[in-house]
Amino acid sequence: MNQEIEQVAAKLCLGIEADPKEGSTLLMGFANTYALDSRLRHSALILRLNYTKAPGDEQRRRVLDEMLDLVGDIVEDFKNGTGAEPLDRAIEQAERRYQDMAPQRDVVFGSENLGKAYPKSGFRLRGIELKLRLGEITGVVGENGNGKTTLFRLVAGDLLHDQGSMAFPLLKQESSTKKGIDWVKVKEEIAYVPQELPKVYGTLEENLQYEAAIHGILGEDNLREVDFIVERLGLGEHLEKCWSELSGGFKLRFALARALVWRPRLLIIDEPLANLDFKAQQVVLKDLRNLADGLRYPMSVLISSQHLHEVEAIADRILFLERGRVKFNGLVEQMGEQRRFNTYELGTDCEEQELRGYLRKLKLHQIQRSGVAYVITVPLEVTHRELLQLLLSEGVEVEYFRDISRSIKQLFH
Amino acid sequence: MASTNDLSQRHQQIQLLFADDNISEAIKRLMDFVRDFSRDNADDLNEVIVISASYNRLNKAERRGTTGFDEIEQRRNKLLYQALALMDGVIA
Repeated sequence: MNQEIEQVAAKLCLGIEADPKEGSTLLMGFANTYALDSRLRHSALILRLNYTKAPGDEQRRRVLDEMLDLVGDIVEDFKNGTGAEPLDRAIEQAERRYQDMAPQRDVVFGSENLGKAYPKSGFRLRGIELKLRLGEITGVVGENGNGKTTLFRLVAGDLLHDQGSMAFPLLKQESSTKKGIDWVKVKEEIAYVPQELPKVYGTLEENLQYEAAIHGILGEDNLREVDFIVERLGLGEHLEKCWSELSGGFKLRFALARALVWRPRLLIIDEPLANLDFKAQQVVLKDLRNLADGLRYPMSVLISSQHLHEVEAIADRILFLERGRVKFNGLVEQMGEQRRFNTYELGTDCEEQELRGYLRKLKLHQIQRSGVAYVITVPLEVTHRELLQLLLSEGVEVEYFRDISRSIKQLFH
Repeated sequence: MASTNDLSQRHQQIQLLFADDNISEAIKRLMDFVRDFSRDNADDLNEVIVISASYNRLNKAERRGTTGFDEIEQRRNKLLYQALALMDGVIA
């Protein structure tokens, strides 16, 4: 074993000298496998961080020397054998504790042929077949006025359906039974964040404590859960603020905190990205993804948005509504499976007539102007590479290009 | 993306986020890690909350320029050691 570690260490030192960045990653792995003293393991990580942040060659060289010294220290530590275990072995043992604990995927909400009619306007939402599972995110997309909010209000119990049936299997509630759905019970487990956020009175902290308390989280647990969600959503600096002192983005995050502090099984969130800048959108979506995935408290998320690519990036399933009817309902990866054409978006100042001329060589099926970009439809065999190569070889200035063949966005054109 | 119950991969992801100086995201993931895997849930949760709050305070001090660069670095490293030790504790 001693010989083995020396051989690995010698190879690692060469690797660090040759490529310190890559070598520093290998050093972390080496420390996880062999270091018995946890401080040595942590030092490997800190040295990699220091190497990344080192402002000049001199500082980088100094970190590199420290890495080489650390390799020697880890070898010594291993040979001395303090009786402690290397991290990799501890992880193996810990994993055995969780190997039978598969992520929960129970169905929280299900519907069959669900619908709702508005006789005055003549609008009707119909034929909604949904299954919302723990740990899954379902994105609902469609243009304004196509039934997204109606669907959300039906699921949240704010509206009564007049067609089909719905059930909350996890909560043992079904609309088709004689008793119907006990909405008081259901609403204890589902959180609804509407598009228009209602004004909240008092400080954020008081509100969060109140929300947790009315859902049965009391005493020390109450304070801890509030602190946890505040830190998890980055609201620490705003805790003493009132509603009117918050920007639109923070209002949304605060509404999210109010919904999540009591760990709902289903989160329904209508157009959360509308008031957020691009960076905040990414943060909120990533947070939703990670929180939905929780092993101890997984939840199902039903989200609507006009930001199609962003929602596609985090959703497991997509439901596309058009004039109250379902146009697509399936897994994100199933989108475009049955397509007969490839569809690309192109941003350029080239005239449409000129573009048609170039694209004739690729058996162009259709070209249409959509806002600031063209939407180009070509046969399946034309890849994005071929299309781009042709455009560039013809001297077309490509300002923006996106393959939307497998995106819900193509259904909008 | 790591499966939710894949402790090893989630641990490695957090290590790499710290090492790549993506500390805010690393702390968020650490919070989820502690919630999912800690057996001594309350104490570990309290500790990860304190780590997150301290890190945010440090960031604020850095933004305001009220604390010197060396002190910021020193305090940040201390927090990192604390976060890594907590992760080790959850695994043990």
